[in-house]
Amino acid sequence: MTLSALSSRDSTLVFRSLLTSLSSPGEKVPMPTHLCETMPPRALPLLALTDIETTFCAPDDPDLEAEVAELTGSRVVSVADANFVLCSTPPPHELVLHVGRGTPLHPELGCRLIVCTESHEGDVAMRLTGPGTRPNANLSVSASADEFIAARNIAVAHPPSGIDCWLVSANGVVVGLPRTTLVEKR
Amino acid sequence: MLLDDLINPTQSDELLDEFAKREIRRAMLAAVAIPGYQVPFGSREMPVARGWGSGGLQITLAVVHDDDVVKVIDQGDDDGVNAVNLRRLVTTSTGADQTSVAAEASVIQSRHRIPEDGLDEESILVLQVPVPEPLRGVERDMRELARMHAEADYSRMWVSLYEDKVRNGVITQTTGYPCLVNERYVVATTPIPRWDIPRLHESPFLTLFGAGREKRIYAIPPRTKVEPLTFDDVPFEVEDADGASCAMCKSSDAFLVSLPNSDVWMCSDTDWCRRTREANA
Repeated sequence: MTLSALSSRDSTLVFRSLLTSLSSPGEKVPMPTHLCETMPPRALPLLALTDIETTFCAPDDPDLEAEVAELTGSRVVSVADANFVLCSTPPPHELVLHVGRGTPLHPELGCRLIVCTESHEGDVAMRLTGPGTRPNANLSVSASADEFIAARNIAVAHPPSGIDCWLVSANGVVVGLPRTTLVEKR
Repeated sequence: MLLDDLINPTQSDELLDEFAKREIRRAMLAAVAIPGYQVPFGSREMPVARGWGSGGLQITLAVVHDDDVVKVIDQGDDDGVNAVNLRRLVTTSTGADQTSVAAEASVIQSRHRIPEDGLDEESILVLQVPVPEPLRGVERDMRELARMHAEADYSRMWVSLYEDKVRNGVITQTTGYPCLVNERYVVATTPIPRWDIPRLHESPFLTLFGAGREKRIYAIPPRTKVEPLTFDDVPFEVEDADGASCAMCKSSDAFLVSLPNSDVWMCSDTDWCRRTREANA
């Protein structure tokens, strides 16, 4: 599947999915079906949000990285300097702890981490609490994503600095994990 | 097709170009992820003057698409000049439908009120903010203000409220009452009346605040703790019309405003008043 720049309407639709997912952490929010059928869903957040003012990287997907850079004008930089980081699989500890977290004066500079997962069903059950979460909100992740969540919890341990994550499944369903969400094993 | 190909004003009726929308959207996402934090953004020139809803308008234009239904109110009134003009701008440039009924709207832009009813999990409330900085009254230096927020150092705000109480017997701030969001950031709740403050606490809807003149966006996600700043022995109170009821619909359980130089009270939310009258009839 090749990528193409999103129309104004399509980028609005993808943004609304991402906004809903961050507003209601743990909720499974579908991204626009017609886009997920023609492009890899993991690329949609980058295509909808990045432009010449942003930086990004996709360290384990150089082809997609090059395509996104050409389509959006966004600059490819190192993991530590990127506004957006796309990982095709749940990233290792080192990467999660290496991305930018912003500062107490500028917490908005924290990285947005987009992580691909096969699905949102896994063996490890997590309980979510914090702003936006519903009572009894939960998240099921695979064992490999479990390690990523542990690293993510370290990266958000000193609010307001931290990172915000989107878990994007292969079928185009996104789950948001803003830095304010407390994720614990059940 | 490249993103650059989409940035061509001659092909579109939209007021914001794609770069502007993306920047505003990134600021909105940061604001939702850090409830109460004022995210700086590059406020664009709008067809309304800064201070007249340009921040709210930019947020609405960055959020809305043609499947949305938009409601715009000014001081609770759907038919105010400012509300009508903003609504016309939004609907003609985005293709969204319009309504005056909050329950039918997916995006509600408001100045100075939260509609009395009808907001649910599907709703996005956009509030126009003239002065987003709640600490402006106690500190003018922007760097010091940033430090105070960064360190959650709100001691001078508490002193200010205490002095107000000692001098006047009550905390006199009526609109835009300062609130603590998610036990972390103090925010200015725009000039909404105290009446609306409790409805922000654990609300089912997302609230986005846009200050175009001050170039700030902040947010209160749904189901988030919002506490008005007050002392343990001085309970927070909302406005009281002293037993009055609306001259038109007879409601006494809505936010009422008095007509100038008279004892006549009317509902601030004109659509609520209209629907109540129709239900009574």
